[in-house]
Amino acid sequence: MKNRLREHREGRGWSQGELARRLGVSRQTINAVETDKYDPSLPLALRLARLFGAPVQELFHDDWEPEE
Amino acid sequence: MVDGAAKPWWSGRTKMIGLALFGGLVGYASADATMSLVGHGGRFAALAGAEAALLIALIYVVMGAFVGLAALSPRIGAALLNVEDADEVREEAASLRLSGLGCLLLGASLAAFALGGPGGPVAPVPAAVLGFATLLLAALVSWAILRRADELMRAVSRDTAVAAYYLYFAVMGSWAVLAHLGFAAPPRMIDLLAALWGLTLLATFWVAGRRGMLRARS
Repeated sequence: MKNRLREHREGRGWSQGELARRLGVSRQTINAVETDKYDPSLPLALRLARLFGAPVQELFHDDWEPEE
Repeated sequence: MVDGAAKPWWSGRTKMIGLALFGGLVGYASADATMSLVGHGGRFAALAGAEAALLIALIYVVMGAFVGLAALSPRIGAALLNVEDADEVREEAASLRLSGLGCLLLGASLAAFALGGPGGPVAPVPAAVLGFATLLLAALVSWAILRRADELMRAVSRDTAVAAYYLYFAVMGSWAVLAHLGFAAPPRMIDLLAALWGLTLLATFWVAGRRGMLRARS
């Protein structure tokens, strides 16, 4: 799943460490999410959306489309 | 590190290649010393079939020493570990100390079992006591690590358990089949122990690589 986490984080002028501190996770986790190596849990995705004031689908997206 | 700042020379690909070379040299020297003890004419030459187990135990001990040293000195830790900077080592110091201790205990446990086998320098009873005591402590340390872990590390832990299971199935299962059919010698008990420790280690690196944790970060 692709995401725009890095863009949002840098838009706030936060380092990975700062975002990790605000979320209570490790920097390694932020790095893994940003590089598409780890899809966060739903609670963490919701926290990220709340922190950036954006809907989850604005932060995370995939190419799946429902069949007609 | 602040985005856009000039990177120090010991970073990125240079750091990863340098660490791989350093680890290779330390590993080679340690393995050479171990093999001189258990090899032909060595002090523990009668220790039948324990070479692989001792080498795997040595990897755990060296890893534990590296991680423990890194946790004690954030500056050294930033150079030795795949982290952004010394601050990240400070943030993770408690987990790193536990991880280093866990690796040392697991290495000591396997080494005790290996050295207590037929022809070994340690009698079976003290080897069993030492081996099980360090194994129990390692289990407690692992529990403490999991309690501190965030969701990525819990996911890595679960993935490692699954990967290790399939590796045991593939490697030991294939060996057992070949031995049953008479194509290979049956595994000894020390081979099973070496496989348990060794394949778990392999699974850990495999999963860490898949999660991007072995890519240069600083």
